[in-house]
Amino acid sequence: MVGSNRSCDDPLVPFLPFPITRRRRSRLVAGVCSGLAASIGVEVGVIRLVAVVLSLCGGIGIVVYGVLWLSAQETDEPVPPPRRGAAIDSAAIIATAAGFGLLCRSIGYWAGDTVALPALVVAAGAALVGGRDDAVRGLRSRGWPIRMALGASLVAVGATVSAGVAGGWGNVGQSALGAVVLVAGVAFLAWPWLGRLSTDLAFERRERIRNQERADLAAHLHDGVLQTLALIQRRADDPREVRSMARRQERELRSWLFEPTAPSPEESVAALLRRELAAVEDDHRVRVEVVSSGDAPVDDAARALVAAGREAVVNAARHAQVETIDVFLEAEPDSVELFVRDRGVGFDPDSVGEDRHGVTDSIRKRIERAGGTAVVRSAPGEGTEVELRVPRSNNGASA
Amino acid sequence: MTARVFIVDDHPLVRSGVRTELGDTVEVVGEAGDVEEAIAALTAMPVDGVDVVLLDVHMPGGGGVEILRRVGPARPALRFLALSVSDAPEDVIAVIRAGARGYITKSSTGAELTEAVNRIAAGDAAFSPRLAGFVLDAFASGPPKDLAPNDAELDQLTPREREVLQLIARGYAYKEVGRRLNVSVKTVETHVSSVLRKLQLSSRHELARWATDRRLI
Repeated sequence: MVGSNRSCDDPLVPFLPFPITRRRRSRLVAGVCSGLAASIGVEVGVIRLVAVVLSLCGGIGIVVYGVLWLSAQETDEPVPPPRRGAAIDSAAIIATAAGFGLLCRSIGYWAGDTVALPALVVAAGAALVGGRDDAVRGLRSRGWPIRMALGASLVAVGATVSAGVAGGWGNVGQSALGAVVLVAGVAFLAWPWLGRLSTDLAFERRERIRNQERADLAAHLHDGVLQTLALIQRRADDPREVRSMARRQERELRSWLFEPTAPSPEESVAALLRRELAAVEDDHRVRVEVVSSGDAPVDDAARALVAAGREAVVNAARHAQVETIDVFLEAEPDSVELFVRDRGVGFDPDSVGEDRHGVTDSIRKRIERAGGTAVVRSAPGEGTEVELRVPRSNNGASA
Repeated sequence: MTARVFIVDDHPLVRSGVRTELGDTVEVVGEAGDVEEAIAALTAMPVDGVDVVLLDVHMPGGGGVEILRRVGPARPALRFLALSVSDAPEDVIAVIRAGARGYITKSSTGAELTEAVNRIAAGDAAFSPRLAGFVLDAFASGPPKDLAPNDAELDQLTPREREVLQLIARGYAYKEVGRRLNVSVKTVETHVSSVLRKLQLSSRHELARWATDRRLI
């Protein structure tokens, strides 16, 4: 448990197997405990606790402290934080000291319990509070000595009162008062430590959430954007394919960035429409610009509207010879309208081929079954626009 | 007339892409890569040296809105066109309300971009389909009841203005809107400018609340 490297040029105490210097900046008395803690690599409080225990054993601790004070040189170096795994060393050191203390007590080489109890409580409190100079500085700036003195005297009073009545249980009230005072004293001592602990916990939780978010973002960028960029580099000779991949990735990223988290796609017409048209974009390698104003819950009529709109977009993608199709969804209080427009080759509605007739019919029938209307406007060279309108079944709130 | 354009975008790739896409009817007289650089350059320019500033909505240091706030009042002749990949309505409406005369997405074609720049250089407003959709949405709830008549006029669109915006949202160009409604392009431009004015001057609290609500939904 003892670090024995002598590589540093610290002034040495001849009879110790490791270097020790007194640490001025974190001292309570002369910085001996800080120096020991720095050499061994444990919390200063642990060493201070041991020093108190040894002092109670007929003053051994005081003698040792004095010897080290005289033989070790002083330095301004700060005390480093405890080593990793110092907790086991600390436990061993404390256990050894406790055992020695109990031994001394049983053979009568002991300062007496009325003195020892408050002293040990104070030392334990100090160990909890921590001894590194940053912590000590923080505590000193916030009335540390007052709190320490107040806590210690409360503990002393409480212990004395309790001990005084321990013989006869006649005066329960006084005994309880002693206990209360004792608890108050301990609370005073432990207060800064508890405060620090809760601050640390809150900070840790914030850090954890931030790290989680960063990991999510990294995962998303990796799964989506980086993969797509790699694919695009491999397929650079096929502009249509590249455009399609870039478009799909753009859409994914947009929905991830701008759309509410975890939307239920069945809740709104706009969401349903965007999802349906995204699939058309992928299948037909066209760009579908969806603009919407207002929104409505999905009912049978809305479902028919979206299905017919999808049909119209597919139709435009197949026949219009365009790269972009504009779609506008407008939800009004009493109806939902959908417009699908392209600037493509167009056609003469009065003399359409069989296949187109079929498609426009299927669109029209679908909408009419839902109680709505469908209008197809087109002329050769003028592009095509399909206007679809269905009534809103509920007379509910406007969007 | 050749419109003189200043490009502000923090991505060099976008700046050079926009330069390439802008046709011969547009002259690029300068560019800037961040908010401070843009403010310094625009303030140093001669008053008649630039017609249209192409403004990225999202940039470190306050974005396009910050530039509009700090340069706009000092240079009233300068016209701004917001150019963005953003789909967030509150950002777009914010930059329009800060003084931009139009909004166009970075996915627009070179022809659309050039047309919007020329339109704004001529003093009109340039509404893309997406912006038209946002504006219809923002004015959808009707006028608030507790306002003076004067304010109420600013707080709602006329039926004709709604019609024009709806057609733009459907993907119609100004010329096509005019043909469809049997009016001149000039009339369409007047309606759109009037909508822009309402958007910028309206005190309707719905407009502000709408923007915040969108983020919360």
